[in-house]
Amino acid sequence: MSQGKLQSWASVLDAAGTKSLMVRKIREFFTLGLLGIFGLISVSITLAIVLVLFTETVKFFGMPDVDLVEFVTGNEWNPLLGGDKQFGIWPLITGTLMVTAIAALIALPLGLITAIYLSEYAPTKVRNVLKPMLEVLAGIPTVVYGFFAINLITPFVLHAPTRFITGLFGEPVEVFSFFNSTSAGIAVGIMIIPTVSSLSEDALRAVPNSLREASFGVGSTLYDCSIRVVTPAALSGIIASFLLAIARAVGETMIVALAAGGLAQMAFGPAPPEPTYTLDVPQIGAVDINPTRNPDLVEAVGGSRDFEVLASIAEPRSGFYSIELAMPDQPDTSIASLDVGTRRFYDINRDAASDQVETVDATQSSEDAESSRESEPTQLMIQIEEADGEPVTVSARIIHDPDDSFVGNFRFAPHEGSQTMTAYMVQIFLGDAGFGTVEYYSSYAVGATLFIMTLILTLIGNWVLYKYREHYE
Amino acid sequence: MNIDTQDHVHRGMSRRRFIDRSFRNLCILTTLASAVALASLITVVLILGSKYLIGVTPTVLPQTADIAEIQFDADASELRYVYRDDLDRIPSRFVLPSSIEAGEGALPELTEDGIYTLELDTGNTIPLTGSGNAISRLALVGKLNFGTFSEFIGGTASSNPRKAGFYPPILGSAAILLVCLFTALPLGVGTAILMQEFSPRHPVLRTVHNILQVNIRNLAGVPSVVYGLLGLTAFVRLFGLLGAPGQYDSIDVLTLDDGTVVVGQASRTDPYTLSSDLFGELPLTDDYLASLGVTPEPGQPIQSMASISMLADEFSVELDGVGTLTFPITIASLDPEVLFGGPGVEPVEFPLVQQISIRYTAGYIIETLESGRQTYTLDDLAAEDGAQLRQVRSHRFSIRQGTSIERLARASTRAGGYEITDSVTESVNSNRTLSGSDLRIDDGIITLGPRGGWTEGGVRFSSADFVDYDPSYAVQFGDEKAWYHLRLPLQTSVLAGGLTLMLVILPVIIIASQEALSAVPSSLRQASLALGASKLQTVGRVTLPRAIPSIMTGTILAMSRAVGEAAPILVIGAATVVTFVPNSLMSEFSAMPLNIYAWSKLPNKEFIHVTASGIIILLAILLTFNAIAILIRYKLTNKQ
Repeated sequence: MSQGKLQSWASVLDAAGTKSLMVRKIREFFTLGLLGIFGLISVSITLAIVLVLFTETVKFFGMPDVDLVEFVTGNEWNPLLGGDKQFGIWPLITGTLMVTAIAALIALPLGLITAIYLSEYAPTKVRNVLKPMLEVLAGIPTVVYGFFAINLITPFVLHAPTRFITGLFGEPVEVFSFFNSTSAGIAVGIMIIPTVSSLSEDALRAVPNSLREASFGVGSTLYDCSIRVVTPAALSGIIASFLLAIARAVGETMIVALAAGGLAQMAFGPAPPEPTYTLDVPQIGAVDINPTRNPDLVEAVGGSRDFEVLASIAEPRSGFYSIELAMPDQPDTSIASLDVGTRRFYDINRDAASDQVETVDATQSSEDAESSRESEPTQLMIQIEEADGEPVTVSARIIHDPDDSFVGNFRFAPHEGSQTMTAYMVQIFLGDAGFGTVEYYSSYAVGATLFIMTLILTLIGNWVLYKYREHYE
Repeated sequence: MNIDTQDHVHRGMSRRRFIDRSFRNLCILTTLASAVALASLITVVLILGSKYLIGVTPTVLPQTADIAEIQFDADASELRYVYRDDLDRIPSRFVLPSSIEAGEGALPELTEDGIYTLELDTGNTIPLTGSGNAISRLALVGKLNFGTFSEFIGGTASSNPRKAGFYPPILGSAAILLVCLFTALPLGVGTAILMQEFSPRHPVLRTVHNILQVNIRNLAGVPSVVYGLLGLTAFVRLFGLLGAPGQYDSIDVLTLDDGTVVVGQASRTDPYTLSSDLFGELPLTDDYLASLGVTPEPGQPIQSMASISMLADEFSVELDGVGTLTFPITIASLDPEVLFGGPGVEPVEFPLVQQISIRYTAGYIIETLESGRQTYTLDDLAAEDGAQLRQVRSHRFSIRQGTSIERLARASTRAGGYEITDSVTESVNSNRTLSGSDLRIDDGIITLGPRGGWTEGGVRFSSADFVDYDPSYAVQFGDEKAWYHLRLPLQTSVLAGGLTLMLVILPVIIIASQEALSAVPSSLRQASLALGASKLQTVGRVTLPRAIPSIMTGTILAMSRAVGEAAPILVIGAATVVTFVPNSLMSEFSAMPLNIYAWSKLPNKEFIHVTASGIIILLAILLTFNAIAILIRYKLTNKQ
């Protein structure tokens, strides 16, 4: 306000031809002050980010259920479900790193080769066309890449490996989940190619021509020159571009929110310890068995009444669990194999006429099933009904078929869904976690972790860039 | 040099030439692959979108459930599909292949092998499979119709893909971009001038200057979602200086005042006092808690939800982690206006035993995957015949893999004051859709849930959830109906959205402006200074005018980044889909990328075309921005 008044006053003075040095000085003082305020606001943004993240994160760690040590070391992230909330950041970090690694695997070589081509090989005309194209690619909003990811890349990823494996080895295997780190990683990779290539190209072009001329002078081919002379000379700039691109991949939000899914699980890391299982056949009592090492048989003798088999698994490890039923009396009768993972309830009816054991999905029909479903989530109930009243011996065992995401005792699952830090924040803020809840504050803690990760990458990248610039200037 | 070594050298040379050529080819291939990838992405989007935007085909998929009837014109040259939903919108006339005779057709029926067959009374049978024979051929010869384009641009949100429009998010984006531009431009250019033209000479200040320079560079690398967190705290909540809006999940406290039951929200400052700013406090002394068998640890806040139940002549407040507090009182007068109040809601008579959850909310947010997130006020919900409510009715819940049903329910309300009657917490192992959700208002109980999927109606809201939110903590300035009126804190508004985007692009604008200023030859500055102009005059009359085209280019590119940013405005709580256009700086809004995000998540395959159409418009705007920037740059290089 005072600025405008002052200016109009000054212009009156100007018009009167009485240019006073004092007026000018006052005017400049205010203008400079305004500029200073602008600068201060811009600078304070960083402080504000740090302050906000810090204070809200401190609030988060002051809440019940939350433990700093668990946050830093824990590998279970379970903030929303039920009363037992767990805040171990590693599933989110590994999810982020998995996506970033896949993206880097694609973008770094492709981006670098494109940069070398544009800088060293491409004719000017081609360059003039490709450079703006890359800029357009860089300007496409990430949510559009997310759309590409789920509508183009995911279907491709889902089907391509299956086709290959079908063609080569026969059995089709469905390896990928619909939401998986791989397609998100590919999309993020495409997204950061322009970052890598344009920054790397700047670095390559900044290499003085004298180096190239010297290289050609001693008989280098263009390949020798660009790979053995120019690229090493621009290495720090290239590394900086890599780091900045990786920082972008780490902070990428919309693609992963769309394509990677929302399941916070360790994308890679040591496997949790083998869980214990209990197979409880009420007629003979509960038996602890370890199905992978020694698949025990539990024999139960049913009379003319129903009997049930209850399987419960403590802290199940991912994979498929099934209960296998057999009738030792009649070895030829079909064995019912039931998937525990689906937590469905089955009636097994034995048809006396054909001696076939029929498995009926009783999830919908059985009243008992409905009521017991609410109690223990990992329970399987089987009812075996003997039609003609003859006693039947049925043996049951649990089979654990660990899924393919384990390599030995190490889990590595780029084909499965994961949740990145950014995707978690989207989930929280889209899901309207109530203000002041643990979930709400947890997103600040996650944001702080993300901020620190990207800041370190950017700092190193800019530092390398700065050091590099000193070389040739 | 003998022959052998010459040969050796020659072979070495040819190997090196081979490597050189192979690498060049590799380079070209890689670059071509990138170009092809880009081209194919854009082509796919164009194809997907054009199917919908231009309206050559409404949909190739034989979704025959949508087709109400099939008619044949007398001249037997056209086959007409009439869609149930929109008889007016979709071009539904297609030229018949000559092999098919005219006639009346019955509704296609699904045969057992999954093929739709259209039987005509002339005896012809047209098998309609998904992979395009009769229907797709019929459809592809349909007439071009660009009318749908303007309908898409002008339409609002709808759960029907053929009616979904893009108008509110376009205007929402425009509004936040304007705010963003008018704040980021002066701030960015001002900072750039300060940093570039007034760099200090004093060594200490010099160091500070360098640190700031590095800082700005690093700011450009901060993920935009983190800026969203800052925007949320700084603008939407104003650092909590004016209090916090409905602390949705905090303890709701019951206090007794002259026999009137009032409900308030607790602050958690003192673990031994459940106090409410609005309604006084309820002292929980050690003795009292001990008499309840509760020993809260000092410093340990009492947390989680409270529910209040009335049993004959006593009230009990159940607090998680504390236990049940019972107050023996006589219900002299129960003020339902307070408990269930709000306009449009009839006071509800309590049965003697009833458990209620009480929550406050600014409104009622229903998020379905089809329509995204929509805000409903109590009025909307009370008027059961309201247009918006009808939109809710037919929505489906889609549950993504890995989410749980309970989690989805949580995602559905802002208040959190739902009651899941069937506490299904199973994690969904595959994508599945529970269809036929319903919203009912029945004696003040609003039930939202799929009809068949859950045993008892899914999520239930008591009307207490819809207590009209009184933003008494927010300070209003100016006429509430004017577009420029101000409210503090800003809450999720156009102004907050624009300012958050400003945070995102400010570093970009600063860096671009700095580069523009540094590109101005210093001889000009020196000449100006030599003629006696002050530093500021030099900047204002010499440096800045020369730098303005470059600054404009940088600004336009920054704006094109801002228009595509979804994460930060999503974090500050912007709705993903709205049916209204922002009319003031304080109104809620949605933006194009958010709408695209919401559409992308939809399970309905037809929405792919809608999403692609939205993307086309977003990309068209971006390309226009880029073209303007390139044009300015071009003029600039021509001039110099």
